[in-house]
Amino acid sequence: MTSTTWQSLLEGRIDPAWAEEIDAFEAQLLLRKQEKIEERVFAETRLRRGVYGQRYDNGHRFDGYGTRELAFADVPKKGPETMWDAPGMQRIKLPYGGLSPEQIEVVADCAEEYSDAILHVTTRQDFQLHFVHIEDTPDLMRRLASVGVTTREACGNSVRNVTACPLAGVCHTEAFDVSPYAKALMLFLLGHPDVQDFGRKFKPAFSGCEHEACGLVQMHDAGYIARIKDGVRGFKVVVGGGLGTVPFQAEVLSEFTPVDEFLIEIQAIARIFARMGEKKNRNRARIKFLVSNLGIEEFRRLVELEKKTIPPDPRHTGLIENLPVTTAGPVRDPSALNGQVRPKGYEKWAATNTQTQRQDGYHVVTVNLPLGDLTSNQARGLADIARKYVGDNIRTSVEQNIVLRFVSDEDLPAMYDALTAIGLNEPGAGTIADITACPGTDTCKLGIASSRGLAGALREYLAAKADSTDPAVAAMSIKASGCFNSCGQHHIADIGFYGNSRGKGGRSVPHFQVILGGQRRENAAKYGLAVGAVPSKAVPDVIDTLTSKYVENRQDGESFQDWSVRVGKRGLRELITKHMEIPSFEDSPEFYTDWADGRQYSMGDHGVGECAGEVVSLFQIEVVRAETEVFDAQVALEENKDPDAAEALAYKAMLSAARSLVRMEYIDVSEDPDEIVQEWKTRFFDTGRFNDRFAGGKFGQYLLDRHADTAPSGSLSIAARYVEEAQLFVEAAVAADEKITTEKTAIAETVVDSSD
Amino acid sequence: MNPLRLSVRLEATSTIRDLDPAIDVFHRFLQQGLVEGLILDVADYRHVQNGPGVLLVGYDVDYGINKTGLTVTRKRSSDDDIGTQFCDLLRMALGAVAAIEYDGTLKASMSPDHLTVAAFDRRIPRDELEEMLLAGVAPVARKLLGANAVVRTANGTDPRRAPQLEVTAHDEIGDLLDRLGGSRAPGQSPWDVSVEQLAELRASGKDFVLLDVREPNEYETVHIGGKLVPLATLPERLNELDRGSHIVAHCRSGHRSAKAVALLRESGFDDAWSLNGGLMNWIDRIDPSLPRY
Repeated sequence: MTSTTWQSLLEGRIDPAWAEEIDAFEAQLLLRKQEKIEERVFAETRLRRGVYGQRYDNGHRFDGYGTRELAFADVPKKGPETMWDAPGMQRIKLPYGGLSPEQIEVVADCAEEYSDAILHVTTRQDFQLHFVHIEDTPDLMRRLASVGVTTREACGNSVRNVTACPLAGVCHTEAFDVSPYAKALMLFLLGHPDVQDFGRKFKPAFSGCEHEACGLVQMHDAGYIARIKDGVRGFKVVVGGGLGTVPFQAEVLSEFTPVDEFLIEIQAIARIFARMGEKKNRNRARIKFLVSNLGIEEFRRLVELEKKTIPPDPRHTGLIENLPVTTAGPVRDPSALNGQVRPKGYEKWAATNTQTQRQDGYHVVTVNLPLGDLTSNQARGLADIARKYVGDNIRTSVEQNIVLRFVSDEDLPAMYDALTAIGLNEPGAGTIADITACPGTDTCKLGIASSRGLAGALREYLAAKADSTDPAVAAMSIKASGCFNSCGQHHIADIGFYGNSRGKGGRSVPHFQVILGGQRRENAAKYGLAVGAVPSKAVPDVIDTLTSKYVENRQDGESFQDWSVRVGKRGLRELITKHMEIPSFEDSPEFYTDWADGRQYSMGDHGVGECAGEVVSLFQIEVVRAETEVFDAQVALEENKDPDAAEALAYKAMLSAARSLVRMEYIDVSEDPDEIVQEWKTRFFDTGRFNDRFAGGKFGQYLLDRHADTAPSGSLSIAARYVEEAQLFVEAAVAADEKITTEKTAIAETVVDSSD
Repeated sequence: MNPLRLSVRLEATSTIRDLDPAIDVFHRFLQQGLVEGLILDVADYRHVQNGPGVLLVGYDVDYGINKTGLTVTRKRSSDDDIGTQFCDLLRMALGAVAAIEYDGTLKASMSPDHLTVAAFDRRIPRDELEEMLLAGVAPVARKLLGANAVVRTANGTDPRRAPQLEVTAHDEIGDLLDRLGGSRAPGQSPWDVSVEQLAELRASGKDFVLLDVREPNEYETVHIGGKLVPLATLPERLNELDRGSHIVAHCRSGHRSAKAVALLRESGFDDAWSLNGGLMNWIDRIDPSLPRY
């Protein structure tokens, strides 16, 4: 039998431009395999096709006792330190999270044939498939392209998925349905020559209304909020928001940009970002740094100037002219839910997983996906349900669920039964048990602690007591990231967590930093602040402590967020202090392993030896001062609204942390900032000992920058950034000490035969 | 053209109540090389209803265990005919079941009396692929599971679902893993002895040579009194050993001692054996007071 290829099977069924791009990618893949193109170049090429690396792809893995080499074939690498045969992640772009039944079926088939038959919904409305072999990616892309789905620019320094509120088109409060515009923006920018030379990624988002959370536009590089002015559709446009290690709130570029001008405007923004944005230092390259450095007035002036220089392009208005008013429409007539039999479990499910929509006679149904995962078979079942009841009205959400809109009211019980049949009837959507988590240590190279493991454990723990949970607590949100990068969006949860690591007695203990005071309302208008780091295994207790104290102390209908603001950082920290203690290995060895992982925990899979005896080092004693100063800086910021005091304390905290490190080697170092910085720089920064494994000298640079210019900014938002930076600097110092101590005490790393 | 992926599933004889131990069991498989394939990591999908459960993810093969059974999936296309691939997968599945039973912490029982085989490749029309699967698997299944084995197509009427066969044995089938040649996991050898057997041997006071084929620095870290002959030096040091003696070789996790024993057997040492799971397994099951590395 002759072999059939997807290329020949799908001929004529893929947009010719898309087909050509995929063929070109496949050609580059072969060239790289023959070492005819450089690995760095190929790495960027594949990233721009959404083909991402995954944990252990450098060929090393910590197995709980030592770091072992994984016996991958010795063939050319697919990127620096990236083994060719190491499975990776394929990200699939879904503009505004929109999906048709046919599209979800193709993703399901691809997951089954190329991945592990799991479709994973991300916090940016994408799909991700894990453990994918690079050889399979061109066919995977062709199959997706044949149903109008692209992976182009899903990763890399490019315009990422355009997200939008999943209720667009059915929402009660929106100005208009933003989905057609999100799609237009995506089509306009996809592969556009002006977006190919960014120093860093660029994430746009749309929202139909200003006061809800749905679009989260305040935390995006470019955010659009629908507005109608004198009968004309347009957007309030914000730029320069973002979470990341140091979160920024976006600033208003324009109070109203009519829809027929918004594409030329984004092109101008893109050109300025490509031309003036930071290119060398990745850690300062997001547009938020450019906007912050220039100031929004100057940035706005440059955008206006740039617009005038852009050559005319019929697509600026052409893509908008014939847009449908909405992408939403029902396939079933509206109806009322009257005497239908309610299946067992229906009421509980309906209470959390359904909501009314603008159109009478219809509901929006949220399919609660645990940790954003569903199987290929479930996806096919979901496609059947969608075809029957809602047609193309499927959306992924940033909460990692799937939303079905235009469910005719009388169909709700039948839909519940159909979801039950495929194991997707879990209630509790949008409750405290519906936890958002990035991949973390499961598959991400940057993961420090297991965010998915934590989320899985918390889900089970919180869902089990859902019936007795106070309604206000049930409505809270928990979000977890595996590291300081905020893919899990921990800054905007009621209770957020991000992974870090602390040492005790020469062993590492997975920790989560507790983030409180974030606000999702108003499109994520306020970011939470770090209150303290607790061992991973103490997190369920931390949640109980915080929620029970809230229930006990709240004043007339006060929300958890309002309560946490009232209690203040100091009070919150006092509440969790008792959970910050690490029990000894002998008493509680489980604290030294991560959730759902049998291995002894190790920071980033680097070999950690065992050592006897517990020693509290001078550093550990002294760094407490730095931690207290960061904390006081947060208090100054939050409670006293005093940016100058906050900045001074943040700077002092960095100096104290640096001094604690220096004192380990040079006990007589003075308190003089110049001397501290000088000694720290020569001993720890210049030698690379302070560097983070992934962020490099990023955190160290914070001190150098502040030391070079200590003038107060007078701005609360800038001060907030400095406080955040100081927090990260102190953590980096703790990590550096841990690394140095481990190296000193570890049993000499054993080199073992690669096949062992 | 062979299908891209093929899988074999053994049904559990009763529902597995607690999957939690599977995570630790799979990590031990990885540490000690106890199942076949280039294994990379453990993925936890216990939260997904009707999902794959806990997955041991490899480059070429995945092992998944959920409440109802164990599935082994070959992930890379093979040039071997489907019958051979089926045998390979069945051997891997049975090897994993044996390793789970030996480990003992995951209470699960799987029988080869009832198994399913599926093929995944939508380049091949479904009925054609189903036909290929049937033609490839049926004769081999009857040979292995007895002439009365029933092979029939399964997986309902949904054309989107991958074609699947159900194989049911009706004869006594004996030790199938043995007949399939035993596990070929990197940390397993045809001449394995268990740590319990070694403990017994030591307690019996019988004469034998315990051979430690690790490196000197590993020996310094921890040892159980074996004669240190690093694997790389073994070929030129064979004269230090007696061909007639009872030898048990061990290393850290069982890979290197398997190689050492293969070399010894080739060189006429007919009573040479490899300690399954190596020193790590010894510490796990016999002497937890020793330091691990």
